[in-house]
Amino acid sequence: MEFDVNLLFRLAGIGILIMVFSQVLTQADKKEQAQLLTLAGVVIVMMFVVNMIGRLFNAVRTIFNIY
Amino acid sequence: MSILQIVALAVVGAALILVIRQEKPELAVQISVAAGLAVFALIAWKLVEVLNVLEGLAVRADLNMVFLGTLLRILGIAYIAEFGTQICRDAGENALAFKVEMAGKVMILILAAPIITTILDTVSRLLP
Repeated sequence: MEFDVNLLFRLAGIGILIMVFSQVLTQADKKEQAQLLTLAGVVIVMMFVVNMIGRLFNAVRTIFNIY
Repeated sequence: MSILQIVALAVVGAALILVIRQEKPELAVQISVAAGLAVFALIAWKLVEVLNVLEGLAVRADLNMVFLGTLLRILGIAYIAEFGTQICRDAGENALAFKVEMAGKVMILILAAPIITTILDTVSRLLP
């Protein structure tokens, strides 16, 4: 369970990178690419988060033995 | 996993989320969920130890294990429902949060029904 901490910082790094790149793209008046980049960022972060949520549900299911 | 690490993680996570929330609120919500999961991951094993102690006490008091099992299950459902409700509130979806909360309550009531009936039976048997 320990690596979740690194995962959190990796996600935050991705978020900040996406933020900076989309700013750069909007300055270079390429609005659509900025929006596509944001969408890609959201999808990547969501993959990690859904994976973590799946692990949480398994943990809770084993701890409280819910079926 | 001392409390210091947990609080440090939460504070750093909150700061990171604040940085991201100005530009990309949709990312901020997901990272706040990730931060919450990281904190839960740190205390999950302590929770198991507490529940084992609880179970040990129940066995010593020769309590009916069905009740303890149902109690644990209700606890789990309450925790998960609260988890979902808070995430929906963070994202600003109060209507959704209320629905999740209501669903959690209904599930808990379903689980609690047999216990309530057994209590009423025992009470009615006691009364003349």
